[in-house]
Amino acid sequence: MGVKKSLRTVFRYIKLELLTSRPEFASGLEERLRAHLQKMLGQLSAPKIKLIPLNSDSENTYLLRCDSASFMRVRQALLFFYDKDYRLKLHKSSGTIKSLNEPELD
Amino acid sequence: MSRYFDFHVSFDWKGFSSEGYAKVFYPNIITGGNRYDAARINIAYVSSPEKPLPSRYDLVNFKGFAVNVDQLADVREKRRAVEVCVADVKQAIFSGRMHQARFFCNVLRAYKVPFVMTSGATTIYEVKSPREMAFIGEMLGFTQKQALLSLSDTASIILESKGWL
Repeated sequence: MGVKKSLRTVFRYIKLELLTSRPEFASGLEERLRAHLQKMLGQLSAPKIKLIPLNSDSENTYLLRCDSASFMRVRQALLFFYDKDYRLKLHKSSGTIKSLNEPELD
Repeated sequence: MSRYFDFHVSFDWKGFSSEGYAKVFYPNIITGGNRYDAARINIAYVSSPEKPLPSRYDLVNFKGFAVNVDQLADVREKRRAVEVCVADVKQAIFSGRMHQARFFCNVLRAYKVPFVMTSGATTIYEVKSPREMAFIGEMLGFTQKQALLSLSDTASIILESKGWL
């Protein structure tokens, strides 16, 4: 029996770009982001995140998946992520991966 | 496509066009003994609401997001703008004074005072793209459009008044 539709977790995705001169550090990015979210939002209330590399676009572009309820808090916390090894640039956010792969219009 | 300006960057940043800015400025901070410099963007730092505003300035920064309605009305009458600096917002977040920043921005909206969002970056790690500035503006209670307009239209008005545009 499947999970009732209203009880399913709705995900949102934040497209972000890693601007770093040292690509070898990229593997530790997810851990750093988790630590930052825990610091900003509290250890107990920090939402679960998953970092998905976007190979089709470029090597340093990722999608950060989080549940829609905590989406705004995650994005606000990411705006204040300062790390000398990992410089992040946030792009647009969406409820679907497909729309994030489309080119951005400003 | 709009042209975006960042009025407060405190280091030599050559790659600003890749982030989406048309121009960034290294400002002259009017505080203490510093005077107005016609060749630069002048930001007056007001540390206390009781202190009067300087006679000439381009932007005014209220330290600690202290609200003085009379001074805000004065800024609006002179067709100048208030600086909302991301570095100050960051400091407010880490010291638990975010509510103060939000209240200050609510007053700006209520009194229709022009404002300009600036990054206040001292290193490359602190720079923000216009889109990120819009996200931060949203966090402060503005809409994304209002935040982007502050970077383009309000900034253009100030540059025009100086005869630079």
